[in-house]
Amino acid sequence: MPQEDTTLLADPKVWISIISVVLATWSAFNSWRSRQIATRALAISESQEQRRRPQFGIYLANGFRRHLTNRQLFGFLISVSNPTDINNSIVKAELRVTYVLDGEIKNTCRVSHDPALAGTVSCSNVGTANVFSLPTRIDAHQTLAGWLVFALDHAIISERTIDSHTIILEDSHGVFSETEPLLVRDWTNETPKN
Amino acid sequence: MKHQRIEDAVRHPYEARPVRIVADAAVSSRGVLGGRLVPLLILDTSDRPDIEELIRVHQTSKNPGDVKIQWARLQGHEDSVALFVTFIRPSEATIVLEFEIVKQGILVEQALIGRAIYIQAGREGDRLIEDPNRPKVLFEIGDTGFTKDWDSMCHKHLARYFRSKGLGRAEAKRAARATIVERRKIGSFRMPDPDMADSQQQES
Repeated sequence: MPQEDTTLLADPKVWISIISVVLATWSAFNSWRSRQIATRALAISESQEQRRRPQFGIYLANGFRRHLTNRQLFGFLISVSNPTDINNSIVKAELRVTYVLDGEIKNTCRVSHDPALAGTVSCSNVGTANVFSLPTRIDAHQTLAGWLVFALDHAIISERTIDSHTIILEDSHGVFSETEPLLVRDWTNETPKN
Repeated sequence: MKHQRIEDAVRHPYEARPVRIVADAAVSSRGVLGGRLVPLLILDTSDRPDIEELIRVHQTSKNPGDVKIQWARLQGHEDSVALFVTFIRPSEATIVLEFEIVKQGILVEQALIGRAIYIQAGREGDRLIEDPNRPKVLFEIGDTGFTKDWDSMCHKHLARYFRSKGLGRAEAKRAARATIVERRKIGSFRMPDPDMADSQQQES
């Protein structure tokens, strides 16, 4: 029997088969690794492509609402970040107000940011220095902070109940970035007691 | 030309249902859209209070609004065309207007020539003449490339209609073409602007 084994190993055909199996296994391993590398490369290029898609990140730092005779004033201190690899611009900022009609049907209206309101007495707390003047440039990986001020005439929503408000920013590619529904603090004129 | 499928155009299920047109008229005003004749549609808004609200908000708004339009054909409605009107500012709403090609084709023709449509809220039986000053919204119909499709579609449907009324194939085609020509002749009316005429006379 040991003699037969020796003869088997001495046979070159056996060695050729063994080498073929080893090479085939090696090739299979290599192709598996190549596939893994290709998948990772695809994921990286997809994430790079994703970073080239225009979008804004909006963070709300502060917000208020003030009731006046004929209108309501809304002020939002926000920071807008551009996490993408492309330069962009904020073209338009709007407040999207959803209110309830009869029969639980909701209606939505949009009010544009009006920087001129920041200088008025009713908005004295906002000041004029930090108010967004649109359109404004926002480069890649840059963040801007400032106030957005909106005036909603009573004639528009009359006595209806406001359901939610969100801020919408439109960029130069026509892409909209929207916040979650915002909560605002109501500001009233109060005289401090001394 | 391959047509796109629109599925995400509406936000609420009720917006996807076409709004019934209960009456129509044509309005031509001096100084508005160059005096062109613009179709006016009175819509049945009994189950669409959002359209009434849209018109009210437009009346109170100081600035003109923004709108997007898209001509389309509704699935399973072979004899009609639809206009998806998406109001963006100052109020958001989507309205689907459906026009029967044979019966209401003149409204489509007029909208394409006048490049605009007036809409007015109403109920069954309302007519423009009863209250011409009722609030309405005017929106522009830009060139979306639909005119070419409309021309062949309208001709085909009108010819089929005339054939169903007993005309021969060639006669039906001729009648369809004549109807379209006549409609366009009526539609191309413009209200003359006396100020413009005066200034032209002064220049000459």
